[in-house]
Amino acid sequence: MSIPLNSRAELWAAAACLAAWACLAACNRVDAVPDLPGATDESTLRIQEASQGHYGNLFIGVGNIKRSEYTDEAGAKKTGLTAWLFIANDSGPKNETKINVHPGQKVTAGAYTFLVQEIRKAKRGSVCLQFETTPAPQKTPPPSKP
Amino acid sequence: MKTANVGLLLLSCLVAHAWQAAAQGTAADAEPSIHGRTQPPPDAGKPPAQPSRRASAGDCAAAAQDAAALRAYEGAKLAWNLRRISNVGESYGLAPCKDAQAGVDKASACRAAFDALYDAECGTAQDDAACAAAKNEKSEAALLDSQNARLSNDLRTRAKERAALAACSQGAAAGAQGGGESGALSSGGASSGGSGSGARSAGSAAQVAPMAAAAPALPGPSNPPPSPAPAPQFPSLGDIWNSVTKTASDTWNGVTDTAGKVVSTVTGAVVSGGKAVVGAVTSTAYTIAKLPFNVGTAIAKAGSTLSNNAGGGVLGFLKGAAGTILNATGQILQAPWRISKYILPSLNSNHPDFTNVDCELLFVFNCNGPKAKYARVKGELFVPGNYSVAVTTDDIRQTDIGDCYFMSSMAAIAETHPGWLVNHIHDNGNQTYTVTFFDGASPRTVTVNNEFPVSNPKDANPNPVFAYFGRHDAGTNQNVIWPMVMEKAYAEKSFNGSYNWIGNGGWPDQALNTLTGKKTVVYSPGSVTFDQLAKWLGDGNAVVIASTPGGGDGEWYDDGKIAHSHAYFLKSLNLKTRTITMGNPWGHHDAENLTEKEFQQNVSGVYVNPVE
Repeated sequence: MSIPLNSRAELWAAAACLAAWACLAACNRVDAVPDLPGATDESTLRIQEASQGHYGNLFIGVGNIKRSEYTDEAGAKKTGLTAWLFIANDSGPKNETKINVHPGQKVTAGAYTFLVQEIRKAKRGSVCLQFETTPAPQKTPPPSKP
Repeated sequence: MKTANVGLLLLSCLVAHAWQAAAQGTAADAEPSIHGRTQPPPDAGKPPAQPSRRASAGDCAAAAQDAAALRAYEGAKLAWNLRRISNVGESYGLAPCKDAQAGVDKASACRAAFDALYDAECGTAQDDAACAAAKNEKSEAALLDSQNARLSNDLRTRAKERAALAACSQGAAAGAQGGGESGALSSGGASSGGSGSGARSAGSAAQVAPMAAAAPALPGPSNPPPSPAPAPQFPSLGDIWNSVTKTASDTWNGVTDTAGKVVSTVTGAVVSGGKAVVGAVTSTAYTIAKLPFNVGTAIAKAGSTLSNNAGGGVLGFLKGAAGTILNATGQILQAPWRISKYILPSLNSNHPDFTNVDCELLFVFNCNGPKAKYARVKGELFVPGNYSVAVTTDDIRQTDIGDCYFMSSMAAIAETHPGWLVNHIHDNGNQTYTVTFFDGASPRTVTVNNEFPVSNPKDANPNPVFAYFGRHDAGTNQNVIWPMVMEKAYAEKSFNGSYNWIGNGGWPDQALNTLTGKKTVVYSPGSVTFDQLAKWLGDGNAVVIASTPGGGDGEWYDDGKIAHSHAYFLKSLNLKTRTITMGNPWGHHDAENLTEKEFQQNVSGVYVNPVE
């Protein structure tokens, strides 16, 4: 059976797409550690690379996700995904710090402690943080009567 | 210099949507008017001229010019606030707000009506959101009231200054006493005083003049407030029914209470445009059986009881349901839990979607979008407050979505043309804002309201999940929301379609073109020198800079000094030290002090737009 030329071209295109998808899928990497006990949706913050998330008074930017060497909490040398967290406190633009993190690392920033639960490297990577401390409600009382 | 094609930069924050829909919508409306929050008068921050020495003619002329500029600005600002509170109040059917723009006294009465509205909503509200929203209304009214108090105090200062100048021109520059419009604005009360004028400092005389001319005339000796019109005996469409008092001996076409007695007091009924809105009522359970006019729809007040609806025009009430809408025969058409849902422009259906904002383009995961709902936020478009300018890059905080290309473009314009941004966002006074973008060179307006995706919609002060609040003015307890307004307008259905479309990356040149209507030129960083950057800045260009795509190495990225695949804006350039600082639209972690070589090595594109 012969395949018409344009159908063959379509097959080639489909095959090329499949190959590209497989290649890109292989590039998709996820390094993760078990969830923090008691973690909920409310205490979990996923931040896309080159953007920032907001939790309580913290603004946390994520950037430069890459595979590199680091020393884990047990002191062992490892190779895996790391990311930079750019952390600022809402109280002022100069109240800021940055830290290179790996999965399983715990970070304390201001009144908050969080676990770096997952780092995902993809075309648009992300970092998943799980907080031990929940943000205080930011309600303000209604204005007093005149 | 050679113009470069930056090519296929797949930047996380800058990823272009190959299939992004062409912008839709209608042709441009007229450009919104300037509304008095522009650049400061040159000497706005200076204290008033001291009349303690004999002034020269030149001194007097200069002082007079300064005072005139300040008066024009303050007058315009006051008029703007008064008009705003009046418009919002009227939209709620609050009769005292009808004349609020006539002066500060009226504005205070309007605020009291807002308080009553709040009490009613929170006394019988069926859900927390309605109560929280009412709190916002109340606090906004309080804010405007306090601003007006401060402004009126400033005007008193100006009046004293004017008196001093009069003495100055006569060669007796001392002992100026208050006068002028101070008496007419006597309800101003305590305030931050004259400091407000300098600190707020907006608008040169030339710039504020159109606003001052367009503003309602301010009350004063030469322009006394109008006498209140007598309440009409029998309301008709378009009339204001204010404080109509009935006594036991009066009858008015069968207006009776549930016990068959005559209604004692009803205030604040407004009839306009075929809709009857009942404002504050002093009786909580009564019936109005029939009114001598036809009512298209009626919005009842909480605590009232639905009357009989026999024939003709009937204005009814429904117990416990604020905002219930009745038809001409008293039947319930709609029972919203907030009056504003009916009164305010209904744009809910046009809210841009965000449910897929976190989706990968090729590998679908985490596609649920943020857990957020639309709710009104507490904030002011611009809060000059204690700041010297209405718009700065400090207001911009990109959050949660990948629209750094857009936020940095706004920041770049704010850096070089803050007044230009102010002039392209118009506060319509009814909690909606009209933003002027450009489709090519043609202006195109997008109107949005002040509801934004928030993480805690039931809180009194919900937090936005995307572009975050700008500066917070502790004096007025208000947050700047202009970047949120701009982002929402950019994401609006009629424009780009949704937050999903703008939040997964894009190109700075497209954003700059849309914002300014001028064409952006893209340069390869390897060919850009600091001298060239300095010339662009000097010429007033907005400059956005893209970092290199992810995956690359290098000291600046390994050390976290700069983020991959991100858009920055040109914040400062030091030609002495030959270093550059690129501003970060996150609002923190600028890329500071890059040398020329580092800049050329770590940047993938430079986007230059002339703005105007």
